[in-house]
Amino acid sequence: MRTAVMLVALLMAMQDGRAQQAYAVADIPAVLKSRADAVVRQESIVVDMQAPTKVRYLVMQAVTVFNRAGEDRARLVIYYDKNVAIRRVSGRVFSGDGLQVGKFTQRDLKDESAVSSFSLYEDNRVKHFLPAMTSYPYTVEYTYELELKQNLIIPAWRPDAYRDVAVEHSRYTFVCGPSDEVRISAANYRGEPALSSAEGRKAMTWEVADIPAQRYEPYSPVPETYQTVVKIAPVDFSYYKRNGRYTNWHDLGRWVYDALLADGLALPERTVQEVKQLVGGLTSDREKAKVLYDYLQRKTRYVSVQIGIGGFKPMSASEVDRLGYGDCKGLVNYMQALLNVAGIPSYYCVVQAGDAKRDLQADFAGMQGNHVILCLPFEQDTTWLECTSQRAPFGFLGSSTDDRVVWACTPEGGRLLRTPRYGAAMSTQQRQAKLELDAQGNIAGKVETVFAGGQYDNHLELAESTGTEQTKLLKQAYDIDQIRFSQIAYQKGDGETPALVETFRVALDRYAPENGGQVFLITNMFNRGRTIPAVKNRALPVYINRGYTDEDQITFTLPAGYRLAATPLDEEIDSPFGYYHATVRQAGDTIVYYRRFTLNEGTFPPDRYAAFCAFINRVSALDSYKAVLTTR
Amino acid sequence: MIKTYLTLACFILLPPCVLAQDFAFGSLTPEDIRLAKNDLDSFSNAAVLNEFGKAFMVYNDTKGITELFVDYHVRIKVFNRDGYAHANIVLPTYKDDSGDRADVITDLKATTINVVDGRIVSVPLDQRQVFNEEVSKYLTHTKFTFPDLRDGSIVEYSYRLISPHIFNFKTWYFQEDIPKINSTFEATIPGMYTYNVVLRGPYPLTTQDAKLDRGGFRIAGRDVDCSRMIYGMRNIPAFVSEDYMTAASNFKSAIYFELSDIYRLNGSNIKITKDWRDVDRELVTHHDFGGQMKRDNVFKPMLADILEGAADDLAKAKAVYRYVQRHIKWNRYLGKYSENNIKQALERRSGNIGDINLALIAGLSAAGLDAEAVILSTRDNGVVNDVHPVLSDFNYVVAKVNVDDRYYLLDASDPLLPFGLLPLRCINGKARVINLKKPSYWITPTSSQKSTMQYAFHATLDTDGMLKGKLVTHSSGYAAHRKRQALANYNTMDEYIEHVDETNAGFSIIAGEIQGLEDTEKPLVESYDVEVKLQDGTLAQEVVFNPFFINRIGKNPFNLDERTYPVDLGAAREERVIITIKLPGNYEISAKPDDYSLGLADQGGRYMTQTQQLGDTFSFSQLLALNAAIYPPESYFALKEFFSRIIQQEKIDVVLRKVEER
Repeated sequence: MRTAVMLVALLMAMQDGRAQQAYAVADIPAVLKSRADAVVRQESIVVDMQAPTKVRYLVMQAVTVFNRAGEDRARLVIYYDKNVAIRRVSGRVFSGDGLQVGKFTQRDLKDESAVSSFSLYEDNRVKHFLPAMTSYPYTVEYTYELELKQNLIIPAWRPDAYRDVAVEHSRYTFVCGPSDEVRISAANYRGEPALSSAEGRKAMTWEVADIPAQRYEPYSPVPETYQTVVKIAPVDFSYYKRNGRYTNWHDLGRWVYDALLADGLALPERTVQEVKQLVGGLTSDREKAKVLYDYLQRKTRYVSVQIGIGGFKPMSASEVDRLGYGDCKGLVNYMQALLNVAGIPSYYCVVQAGDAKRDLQADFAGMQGNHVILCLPFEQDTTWLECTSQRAPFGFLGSSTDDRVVWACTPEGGRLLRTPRYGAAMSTQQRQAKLELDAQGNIAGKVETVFAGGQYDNHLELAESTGTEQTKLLKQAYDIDQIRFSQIAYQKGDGETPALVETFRVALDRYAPENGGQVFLITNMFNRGRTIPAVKNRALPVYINRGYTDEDQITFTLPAGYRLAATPLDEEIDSPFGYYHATVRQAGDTIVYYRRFTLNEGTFPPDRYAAFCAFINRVSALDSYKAVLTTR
Repeated sequence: MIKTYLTLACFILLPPCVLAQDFAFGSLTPEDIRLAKNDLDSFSNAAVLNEFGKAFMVYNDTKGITELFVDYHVRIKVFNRDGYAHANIVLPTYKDDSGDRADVITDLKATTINVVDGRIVSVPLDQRQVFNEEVSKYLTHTKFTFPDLRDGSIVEYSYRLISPHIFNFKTWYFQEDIPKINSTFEATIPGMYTYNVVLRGPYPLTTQDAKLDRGGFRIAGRDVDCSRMIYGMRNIPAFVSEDYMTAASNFKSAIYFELSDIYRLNGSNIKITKDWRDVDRELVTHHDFGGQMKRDNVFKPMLADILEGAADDLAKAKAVYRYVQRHIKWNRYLGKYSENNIKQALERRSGNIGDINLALIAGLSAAGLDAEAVILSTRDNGVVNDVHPVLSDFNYVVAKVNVDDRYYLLDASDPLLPFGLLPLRCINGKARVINLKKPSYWITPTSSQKSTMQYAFHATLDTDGMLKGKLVTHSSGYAAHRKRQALANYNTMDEYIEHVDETNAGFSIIAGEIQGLEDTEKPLVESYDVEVKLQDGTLAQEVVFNPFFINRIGKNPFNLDERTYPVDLGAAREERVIITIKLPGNYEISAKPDDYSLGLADQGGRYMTQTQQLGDTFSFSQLLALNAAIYPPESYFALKEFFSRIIQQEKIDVVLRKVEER
């Protein structure tokens, strides 16, 4: 009853003076209208942890929508599962001048399954609603209350998560018992939370006001580096009837291992014998692991099914053994079980997968990450396995999990590790082409390209496709008018770093047109850099996520009498962002095109964007260099 | 589209015929085991070895309704890991609002069959691994995947679907995205139902048979004779979709059943789809169609306001169109029927296509105009049957207003469309005009406006290497519509112009303005003060530049080695570029692209460029016109060549040379 009183007080506070009156658009400061598709007029979130199995989550939000792109920002969206009870929902709609024009309740919400596109099944659902408005601007205000039946994952506060949304005012309050211990992470938040207490309970409040919208800036750093996020982690927690206590990665890793992993590692006897037989004659652990990884890749495939325990508990190894499929957790767990039989230690590692390199937050333990990989801590060379891929070579981590902080969950507890990085010098694409130009402007010849390191998987899908499908994919990769391929072949290299060799013959009809006694030949046909927008007044640092090196050499054999008329090309650019060198020169009856481009990874101050843009756009301009040939 | 009408054979006269039989579950043939990738085509990673379906009706005494039973059985071979996706099965089932009329799947059986060391090993599906996903109130997906998949696995499953939705019977798709060796469908239809059976697609049936099934359907204690029809096809290639193609259903081989008559046991006959006269009557009297068209009284209270200042009929039509465009927001649902009724749609300011355009028709009638409804099928939905009226083919309605000697087709669901221009999704072959008083008739809607772009760039070349001038772009038709849609995502024009500036590396925009944004009937005009840097520093002796920097094609949209289906661009298009550059006094053209003209057969298209110098002014013009909305597959290579020539032409530069004192 007491808590009820306190919550009423908080809700009253939520609907303060500003919220009471209608949301006239005229009241929005001009600076918040600039570049904004929508403005959060007022947001108030209260998390009231009454017990580990009872957390009340109250949201009040009012969003003004300015245009079509902003509509979805005002949509009420509630994800839920068996561990979330929706207590109440209501909302109102206001016109641009602040008059109420509609209202809605839980009955108006659409209810749909929320199974991600990559999953066969998940038990998540979503309720959502967006009022139909024919003109802009308008304002949608809603409040809802959820009851979370666990406190391991407390919804974080991300007031400025959308760059096209300005925030007039947003507030986040966490309430708990006086003796409840919680850890807090407040990233990119200035100042300290306001503390208060009432009815013997303590409350902390964070708030932000007047954050303008930002425009899109290419090559931006990952959002964690600049967006405000407040996360709460209770020390004592309950999750799907499992209780635990943690204050660091070590303890939480231990809990994950004990509660979610330990009981799923047993394999059927038949498989145990099979594994023993497979690794029997082998001496080194590395060889054994390689054989077992091959066994895994042949026997299983990735199928995502997320049910129960919030999608954190892997399907047991015996289940994966029987079905021949599993999700990332199930397959990593299965591989670990196989390695256990061979006596090879391995770590179940949680990672934030994606092309952007995002570390787990080292200084704040909690259930983070969206994917699981396996680490084999060999004495000399720690090896990493992506268990959901049937194509990846042993020990290869692609661009979705490379170079970042991951969390190993082991019987000895959790620890943070870093996955390997393929630097710019290691991620290479090397192309050699010998082409012949005839008097009709046709080009034909042989092209060989080696993809290695971080660029290993650029054309992996192509390599594994066949027939007309392969031709179609090749045409997408080499999108040149009238291109034809023949004698297509792929070979996987066996060296230390993975490599893929692509060879084919190519024919390009009338590629080099003739006009007024001159022939125009664009020498770089396969690897032209794109331009990037010259965004002025850059706000965020320039961030280059991943470096690489490309080298192209193309030799064109010319018809008799053809000569390079224009000045030969020889330009070298050495910049902090990378290196570029391109030359075109005549050598006997050939002209030789050479290009080397290295992009360096790194973070640069915002004011360096203009220089970066100049570099990239200069490369793009030089990439379309046209050799003018005279025919006499 | 190829359609064949299969006559429903009069079964009494038929000799007894071979019974189509389901193949035995799990018992493989040597051919099944032998079949390898590339035996059928070069690219498929899985193939259907055999497929059998059987549809029949059963009267459910408890519920008092006739239900459709469909028994389905398929055997698929997956050649490699890229084919594993074909072992992930999703079976959709539908239910209505109340949940009473719901499809049910029963007797699901599935097995993976592997050949291991010469032995056949079967792994049955674990029933706990079958998931029912309630996608929405109306749709449930039954999902499962096969265990123990390997390269060369054979997967097999069967189930029974029981459905209360007998109206559409069951469409049988012979052709899908993987090839099929054999596909057989047996339909047993009680004599009281008559269906029109339509075969679509290019491939012939290899089996077609019909026989009498005496007393095959029992209803109310009586046995009714059925006709049992068997359709089979062998060696069906995979369906591969191509760019610039309308709905795949127009081209895929499939057999469709359209209910035409029901004979009641008491001898009476209900015509479901007999001829257009019956359909007209049905639509005109339908509460959610004709019933809504007639509700002109809904508009009476606001009519005076809407029509204020509208002098003639055309102005009135435009005023009503604008009003509906601005007062009902499309809820993204299609439909020829009104979902909410037009009064509610106007009040709630939200509705489906039926609500919006039937309201528009009512509004036009209220204004004293001659308005009709036009039902059609959108491009995604495939073309309509123009032999028999098949109402379920139509998924959209628009308004047709007749003013003086002209008519205009109107869709008020998109506030950015000009009066008289239908959205591209509606341009899809024939459409049927439904009139409240007169018989219906066919029309073929076309895009009423060409999609045109005109770029005019007038500039001066300074001796510092800068080209400065004004770029004015006029867009009309779909081109203007696309730009208006893009602009709708920006709060201010300045932000949009900034975006245009930043995404064009070739030139920078110093200032700009956009006209005609509000009035969708006028062209959208963008005027930008533009600077292009041709050279760094002072102009050299020789200045080389490429005049194709505006509206450059660059890539060939037609890149296939072979083409099976027509190329459907939706609307004709025309793009013109005019550039004039005032040169510094002592420069002249020393090399330039030869003037060029290229045409497509039957006036299908034209490309022209022209370059010249008049006094100190250099001028360049370019025209690209594609005059047809649809090109037959045979024209594909001509189109490919046409664009190829354009791309070659675009590589040629202009060279200006400084002339010595004259």
